[in-house]
Amino acid sequence: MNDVTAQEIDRWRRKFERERKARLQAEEIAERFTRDALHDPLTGLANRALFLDRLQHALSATGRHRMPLATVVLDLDGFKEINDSYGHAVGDELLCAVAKRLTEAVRSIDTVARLGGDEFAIVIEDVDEASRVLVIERIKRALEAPFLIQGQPRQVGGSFGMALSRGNIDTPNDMLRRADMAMYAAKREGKVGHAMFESGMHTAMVFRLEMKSALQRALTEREFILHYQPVVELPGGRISGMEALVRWNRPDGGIVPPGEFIPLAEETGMIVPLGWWVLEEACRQFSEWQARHPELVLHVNLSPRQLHDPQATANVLEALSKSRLLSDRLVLELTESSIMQDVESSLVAMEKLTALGVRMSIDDFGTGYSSLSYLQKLPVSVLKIDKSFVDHVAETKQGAALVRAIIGVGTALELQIVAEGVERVEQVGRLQALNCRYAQGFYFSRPLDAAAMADYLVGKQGPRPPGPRAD
Amino acid sequence: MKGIIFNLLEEVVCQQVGDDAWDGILQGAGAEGAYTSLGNYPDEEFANLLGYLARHCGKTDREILKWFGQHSMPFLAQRYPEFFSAHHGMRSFLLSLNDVIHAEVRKLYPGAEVPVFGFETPHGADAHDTLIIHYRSKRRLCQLAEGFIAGAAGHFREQVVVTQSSCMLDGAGECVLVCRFGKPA
Repeated sequence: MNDVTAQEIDRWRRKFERERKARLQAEEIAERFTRDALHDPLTGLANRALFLDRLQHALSATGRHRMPLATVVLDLDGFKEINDSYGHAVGDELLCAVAKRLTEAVRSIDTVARLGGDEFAIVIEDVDEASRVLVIERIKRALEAPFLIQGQPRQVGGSFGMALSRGNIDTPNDMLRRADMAMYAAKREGKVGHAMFESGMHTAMVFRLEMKSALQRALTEREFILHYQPVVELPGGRISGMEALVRWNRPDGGIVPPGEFIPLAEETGMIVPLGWWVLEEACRQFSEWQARHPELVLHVNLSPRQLHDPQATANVLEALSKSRLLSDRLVLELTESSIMQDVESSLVAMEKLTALGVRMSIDDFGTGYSSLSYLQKLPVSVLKIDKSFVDHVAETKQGAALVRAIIGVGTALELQIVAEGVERVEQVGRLQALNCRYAQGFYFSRPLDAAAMADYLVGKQGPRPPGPRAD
Repeated sequence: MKGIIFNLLEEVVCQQVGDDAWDGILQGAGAEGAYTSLGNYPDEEFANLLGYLARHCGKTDREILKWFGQHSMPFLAQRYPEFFSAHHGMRSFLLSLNDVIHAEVRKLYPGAEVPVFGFETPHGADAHDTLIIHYRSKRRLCQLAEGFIAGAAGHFREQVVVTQSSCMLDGAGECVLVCRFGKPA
């Protein structure tokens, strides 16, 4: 009896031991599953789910203790190219190297996560001003040092944005979104950049998004209108031509200044359809005036995207033929900086347009660092001196000397010189003395809508009296 | 092999042979015996346990596998009733093995290596009551499959006669299990 009991006790003991061990194994497995579910299998970093969870905890703590909390979002520049040209294995290796550097760049208590693709994020708790600067520096250094790609050191770089909460941000997604916005702001600034989220950024981004869709609508709804600013001849102030300028007449009233929507249109590519519409409309309107003013020329701005549009020649030709405008009456204006972005291909594209008989003008001259050798090569016949030089022409000796030099270069290259942004009578006098032949600006006339321009042309709203003779 | 199979074996042995037997078999096979359903354990350990169990019960290795498969079916039906309740009979149950049951098993037990079955219905008069199942697995546990089929027949209260026209254990490239169904008289 005793023996049996002892055996049974033994069996129970073994059974209990087996069950205990099985339970431990089950716990280990559960732990591993949790780890796998919350970590990026490639880099071993936290994944998005874990990142959001940690951020949520950190945000609650920040709310309670008022300790500032930072979130950094970053992505690599040109990761896709590396993946495409070296293969995914090399791309994966790079991601692991970045993960390692980021982990080393922050404290062990900070959470580094891979959100997906080449996008990383870091939660940094309890950051004061000094440690924030330090963290930014360390992340920047981590990205700046070259990475070994197939044994070759290669600069990769990235952009990152930081958002900061002092208890004022509630949700992880909100925090991430702000850091994202800061990152995109950094991206716009250039490579290996970073930016801090500023409270205006959200408003700015919402504004940009709203503007973007409004622009799209405006294009289809034809909310754009053209104004025309006279270009006059010096001395005398007789009109020699006009520049077409686009204005956005929003249905809710109010005209949006071009400075607010042109950059956005450039960025989104909408400048291309908009720009071609401007050309066509300007040619159409101008040709109505041409019959009675055959000596006038029309200046129309061309964006760099339009210049490189494969349809450029066809579109210009169409605008001319629809309006029956002679090609030598049209001057297409390109800013100096847009030509210099890629001077060789600009040259080719410009030559195609001049082959049609239209003339080209360099706008905002003096601001785009063009070299004189290129100036000689470019098929331009008009040069517009930027307003920033004209502003000082009557004020300082240096200002006058600069304009004199620009006019000298332009004249030597047999270009027509137009001074832009002329606002005061003293400037007119000085420009005349420097032998500047053409001018444009509020002093002579602000941009006029089509009806006002028609009046201007028939003398109802006569040209300004000429400025005083040079003394 | 996944721990769930070892758990089933323990349940079957305890129910059919007795609690003491399982303890004895573990000791005899030199196995620690701590199995958790999601764990992975060596295939040899399973083979050792079955070998010891076969000797304990006076059966051959093939017989014991089939016996295990057949008696484990009620436990499976208890654990995973949804695999069974969707079917009115054997045939549709078997046909759901690859796409439903084993697909779920892979989700429940990540890393589980489940066999893929090939199904074939003969032409002619046999079409309705015969299903030919092709089994291929490096574990070569066709007897277990046969036992499972017999167990499922019990669950659905059907009769099935399984004959193997070829077997990997006899050197064939695959096992072919010919199932003939019939309602009990």
